[in-house]
Amino acid sequence: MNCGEIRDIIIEYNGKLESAKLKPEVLSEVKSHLASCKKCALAKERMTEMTAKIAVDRVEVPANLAADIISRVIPSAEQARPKIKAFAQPEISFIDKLAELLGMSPKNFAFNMSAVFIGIIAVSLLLYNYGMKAGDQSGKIADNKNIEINENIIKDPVDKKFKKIEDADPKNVASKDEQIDKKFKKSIFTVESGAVANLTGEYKLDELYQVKQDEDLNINYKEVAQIIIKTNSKFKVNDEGIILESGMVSVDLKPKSLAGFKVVTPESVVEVVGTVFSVSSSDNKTEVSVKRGCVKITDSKTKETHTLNAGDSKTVSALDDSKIDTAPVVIQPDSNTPVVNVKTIASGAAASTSEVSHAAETGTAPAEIQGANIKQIMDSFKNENVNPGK
Amino acid sequence: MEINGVNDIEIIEKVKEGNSAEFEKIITKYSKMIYSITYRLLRDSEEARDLSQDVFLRAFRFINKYNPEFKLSTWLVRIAYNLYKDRFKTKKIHIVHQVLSGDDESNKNYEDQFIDTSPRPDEKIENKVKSEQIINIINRLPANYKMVITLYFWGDHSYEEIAEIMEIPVGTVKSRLKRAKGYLLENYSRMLEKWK
Repeated sequence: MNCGEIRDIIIEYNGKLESAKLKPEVLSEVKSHLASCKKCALAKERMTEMTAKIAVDRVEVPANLAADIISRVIPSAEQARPKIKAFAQPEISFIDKLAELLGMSPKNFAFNMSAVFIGIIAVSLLLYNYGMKAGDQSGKIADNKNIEINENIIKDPVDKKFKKIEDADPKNVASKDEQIDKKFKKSIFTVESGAVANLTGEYKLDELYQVKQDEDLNINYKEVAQIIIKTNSKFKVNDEGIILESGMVSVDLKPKSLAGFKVVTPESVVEVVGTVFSVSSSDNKTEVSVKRGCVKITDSKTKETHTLNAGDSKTVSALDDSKIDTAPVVIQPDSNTPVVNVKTIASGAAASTSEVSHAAETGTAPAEIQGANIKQIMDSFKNENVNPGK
Repeated sequence: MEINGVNDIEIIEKVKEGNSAEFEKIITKYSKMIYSITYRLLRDSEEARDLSQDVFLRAFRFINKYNPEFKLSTWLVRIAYNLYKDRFKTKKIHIVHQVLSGDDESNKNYEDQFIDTSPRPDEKIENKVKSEQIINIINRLPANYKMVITLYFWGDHSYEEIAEIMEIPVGTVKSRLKRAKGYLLENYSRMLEKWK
């Protein structure tokens, strides 16, 4: 062993080789080295002395140390505790209190409350959904019960618009919304300001259209009126509805379903008074024939009103030479279905009131209305049922 | 591990439940031990008292993190050591970092490593001066070496406990202790040589 190794042993055992757990031969070798090496022997002596001095080092602990620390630590701890208690305890105690009142454990109470909460949300959603539908239905009911026809005109497009959006591809709703709106507007069919219906196909605003030869344009209005624009009838579409320029419109109303329903022609306004009425019109005059029920005719210029009962008919001319015919032309008094025939007779047209009315009742084609450019209109018309023309 | 017949863990459980008063028992039992360590580390009674208070404050605050697998005394001393290191960093106590910066046991030439720059004491009682000088030498040790020496000579802790307190392997504890004692012996010897 060299001095370094001996010194390591001295340091490790703090110079107390006698109590060191060394093998006898190692201990013997160390002692032998110490006997011959003064430097290592001195190191051993100093190590022992130093260790002894360290061991006797005493620390004077203040007498009131524990009390002092307690007096400082515990109040600080108490200050820290209430902050937690103030925040946490009311919640726990409140829940515990509720749980106790309901006779359940806090865990069960929390579970049940969660279930109730989820239930409330589900019921709310159902009610909300039902409310939406109910609102929709009530709107329809309100429409049907509406006394003011003009309100129908306003509400009906909304219904149609809503339906169209529902049918549309959800992905394209936003992008097609404006387009649908335009199409919809152009598709509004109104027998003047009274009725609104949806036509298939697209129509340009203020362009003149004519129904194809030998075809009728059938329109269902709110399931309360069946409107038929007869063959060769000409009409325009605008934001207000459809203006009948010439030809014939037949309106079939369900009893008491559409009080105040009007058919407006350039010469007059024909309005339902009782349950049923029927009307026809031309460029210069309007013929109204009542099949069943009672209608009121208002002259557009003189504002003069006349009431027609079942079997009556009336002609209103642009020259204001209106008169009541005592002999009705169109009347079919035995019908249970109210039918209104509105006929617009073009200048020089051969069609008579009787012919038109007959056609409306029997379904046969009325006499042709001589329009100036009917063929051109028909050729350029895109719709299957309607030909455009101008 | 018992205080007046009550287990430390039982007391801690009560403290966890919010019974702060129970913590007094822990302070009463361990305050002297903690103070003696903090004093030997700092050699200043006021600072040692403050540090001791901080130890118990932190212990109370983090009582939920106490691992019952370890002795409570070990956990408290570990807190003291960590607080001491923080303070040591703050105050930048100048010691001989340059000579005890590593744990390499192969370097055995202690005379070359340790240079005592402390002034030679004059006209004092020899033993007292010797003791003071030994303490001074210890105080010049880096914090981790001083902690090992403190726990080894005065803390009555085993190598394993020291390892737990300092969160280092037992082998590192042994190597640090050996180097620190070698440093003390060399400096003490140097001091005595000067006195001759």
